[in-house]
Amino acid sequence: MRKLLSANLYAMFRSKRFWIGLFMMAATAVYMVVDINKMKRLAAELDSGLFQSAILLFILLPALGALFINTDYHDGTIRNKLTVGHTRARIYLSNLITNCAAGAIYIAAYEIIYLLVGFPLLGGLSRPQEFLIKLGILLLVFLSLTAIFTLLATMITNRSVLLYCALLGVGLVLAAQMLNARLAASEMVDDYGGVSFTTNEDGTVTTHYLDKNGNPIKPEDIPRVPNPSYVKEPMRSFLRTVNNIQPGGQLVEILEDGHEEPDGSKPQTPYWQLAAYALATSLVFTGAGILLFRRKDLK
Amino acid sequence: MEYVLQTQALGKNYRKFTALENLTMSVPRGAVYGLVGKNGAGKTTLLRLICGLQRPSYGTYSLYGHNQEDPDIIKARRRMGAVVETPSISLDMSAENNLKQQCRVLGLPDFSCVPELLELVGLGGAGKKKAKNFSLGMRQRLGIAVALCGDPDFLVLDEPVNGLDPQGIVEVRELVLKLNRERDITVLISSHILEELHKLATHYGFIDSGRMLRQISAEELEATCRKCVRIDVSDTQAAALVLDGMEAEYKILDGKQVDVYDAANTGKLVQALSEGGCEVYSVQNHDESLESYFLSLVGAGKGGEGHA
Repeated sequence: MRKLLSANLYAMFRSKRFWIGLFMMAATAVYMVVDINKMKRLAAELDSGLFQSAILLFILLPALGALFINTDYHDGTIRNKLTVGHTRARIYLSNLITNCAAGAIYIAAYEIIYLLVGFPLLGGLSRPQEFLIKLGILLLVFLSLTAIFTLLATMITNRSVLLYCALLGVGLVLAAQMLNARLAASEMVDDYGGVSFTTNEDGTVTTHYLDKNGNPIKPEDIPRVPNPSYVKEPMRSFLRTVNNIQPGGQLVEILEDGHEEPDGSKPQTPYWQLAAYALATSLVFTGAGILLFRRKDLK
Repeated sequence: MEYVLQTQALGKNYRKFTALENLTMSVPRGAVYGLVGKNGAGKTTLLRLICGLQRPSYGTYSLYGHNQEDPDIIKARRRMGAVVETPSISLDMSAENNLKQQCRVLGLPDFSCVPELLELVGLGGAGKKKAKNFSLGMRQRLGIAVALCGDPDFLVLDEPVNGLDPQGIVEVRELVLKLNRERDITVLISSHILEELHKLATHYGFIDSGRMLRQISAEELEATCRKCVRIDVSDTQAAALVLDGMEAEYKILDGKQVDVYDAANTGKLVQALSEGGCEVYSVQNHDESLESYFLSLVGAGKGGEGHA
């Protein structure tokens, strides 16, 4: 494994794509500090931009990681590893670790540059302990994302996998936001036919509610009916669990400090739970990946 | 006899397609084993199985006596190098870095073998050049150099001269012979260019439709087949009349070429043809034994009209 890692890391560090990715992360860090500095009057603080690069990395890392694995197939160099006796499990794990290392380097690059540039302009961190905890969870989230795209990139050998992997990151985050929006829908909604607005002489606007027949109705008399968009149990718990497990959902949970509930509250899934889900996802996908790769016919 | 590779009733199916069927073969140590077969005969599939790129559907193979399921086959694999289908090289890396990368994969303590290998394959002056700028022949030679990292004593080459120009073919041939003779490397080489294999192989395995038709040593093949002279003539009809008169065994290839078997006295033959009104443009010893032998094995001998 050490030999394969040495070869992989060498290939990664001499790849232009890796350095372009690193430059993008560094540039994003500087841009975030400057952007937050512009909003300083709105009580913007250093903490607010700490993890804003994660969404970019959710697209960048799967695309670059998949390209790294796919190049091994494309150039045929994976044959050099198998022919000389490296097991498929070792090859798979070394690719996974290399991609994880790339992810960790990108996150570290962003955080270091963000903090170095941010300290003089935006002051110190107000919640350093929380930063460290979130950083730890974020690394685990990227571990699970890497486990998923490593499986995809190992099993699909043609170049189309790069697109699938780039879309995977976006898809997971979008799916998480859609699920969160559905789960935030209230159980009961006002049932009125329409709304009209009147502008008063003093410039204020009065809202008039109308019933289904177009007659005016007082706000307190508006009937409440069950919301068809409300997600009932047990589907509710299931979808919440899905969002807590999938890396996109975990990322949104970290970035938004929790999720909205229909009653307006914003509970947070415990960090230990997110960490456990991320580890379990990584283990399941890696195990499945190794099993499938062992059976895969290579050319 | 000690064998580097042995297969026992090896088979590979891709869904309903049978690529290999009960293939049994043995590659003796020190041999240049020529795997002969048409396109699609199953040569590459066999090499993929041996290199661990694919798993056999049934049957077994062993490398240096280690069965494919034996954990120690990993050690046996360390003793082999392979170029299957295309050369396995990183196009974005220089020749030198490609070799260094393989040294890392093998866990070699240093890169001292790199200059020597580049010299060996004739890329001594191109070490810094990126592989993507290499010609097909140079890539092929670099692929062989990569396969030679770690000093293997079994080399598997799949169609190594495919697509090469005549000079490239000669270079690869000389390299294989050098490796076999000077470094005592056993070579398993697949090709459908029979003329080329004939100049290299000490043993042959004839494969068709995924089955091993026959294994034979070069000496046995020589004993089985006959030599002939190939004559370019102005008129094959006139040549046929003369050769019939001489009671020679011959085969007319096309309108201008005739193969004459067991021609003891070429001078006499040329004189007789000239006297018979048939102009002779060229005469060359032609060793078509491997081709004929292969065609007779696969039952596709439609090369021309035979006479005796």
